[in-house]
Amino acid sequence: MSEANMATSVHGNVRHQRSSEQTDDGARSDRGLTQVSVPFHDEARPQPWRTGCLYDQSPQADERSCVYAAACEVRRALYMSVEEHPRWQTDIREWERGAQAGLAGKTYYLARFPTAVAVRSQGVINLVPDSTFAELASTWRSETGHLSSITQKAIHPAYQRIIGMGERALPLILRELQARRGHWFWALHAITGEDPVPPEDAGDVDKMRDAWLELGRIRGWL
Amino acid sequence: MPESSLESDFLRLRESGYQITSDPDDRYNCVAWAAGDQRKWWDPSYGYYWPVAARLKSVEGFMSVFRSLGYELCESRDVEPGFEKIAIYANGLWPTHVARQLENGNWTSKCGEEEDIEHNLQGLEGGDNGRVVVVMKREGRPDS
Repeated sequence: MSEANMATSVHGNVRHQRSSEQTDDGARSDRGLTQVSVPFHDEARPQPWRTGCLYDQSPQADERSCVYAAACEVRRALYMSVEEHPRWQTDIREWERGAQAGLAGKTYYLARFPTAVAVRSQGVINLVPDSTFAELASTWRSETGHLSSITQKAIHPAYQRIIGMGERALPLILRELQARRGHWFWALHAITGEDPVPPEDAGDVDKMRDAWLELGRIRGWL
Repeated sequence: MPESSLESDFLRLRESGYQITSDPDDRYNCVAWAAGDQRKWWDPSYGYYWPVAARLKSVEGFMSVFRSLGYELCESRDVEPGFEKIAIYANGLWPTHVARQLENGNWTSKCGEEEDIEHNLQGLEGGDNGRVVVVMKREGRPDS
């Protein structure tokens, strides 16, 4: 299934709503959290991530919530059981072992699951108003400028919220890239599924920027 | 010594002493700078330059990059005549930064998209960077 189709499936099947209700897992959904109800075709299966995950977009987001929400969305998007995806099953089990052993934090585990991060981001589409883009971009720049790791930059909550805006963010990101530069390539790829940068130009930031701006003009995003 | 936003990102920097040696630049990062490249951003993430096939976001993955450049593990952080050294920082299992030793025993680092600085290893420890977990060396000292 293509990324575009997968994203459509996610959007079509995952319900997003502000809520203060109790979830199926018994978790409390406070103000500022978004409840995501994920209907599975095998709901009777006793798996901890089967339903009722919470999104917490704050920097203090619980890592279990984040990764389980992502797991739910990927699984629902593919509409298959975990058992039919050995790689995904392995990843989740590895995360479980690590989390139980307290080996690393959210940063590590979200980075270990780039697909989950991308799909999770697609899943929160339309939760972020356009007016907040500038504020989010500013926060992201000021809080990640000193970081060398692209993954660390990309999993910053502000960057994730921008990805969560989906295609609405493309003109904003491209204008930002044009005016202020910055490592927006992860977000652009996550939203569009496209990669206009030739392999030989990987890491050449000027050429990466030019390639994305050119694609933006061709696609009418800029 | 000039004040810098780096001091708010790396809280030990001011106390340990450092010197800014370049302007901010988003074209290269610490890994590239340690490897002597100012043209590309080296990162194992998709879409960025990474000189080895396995794009491992781990200390071992970073070590494999510097092994490919002729570096070997070493014990001492001190200057050894005829050898160039690099230090890999990690926060838990997560590699966060690489610094390169200068002939005078200080270290040079590119701080994300910010400036290059000359510093000691402790100055960039703490916070997001974690601490130095690996030091590697190779023979020869290319012009820098």
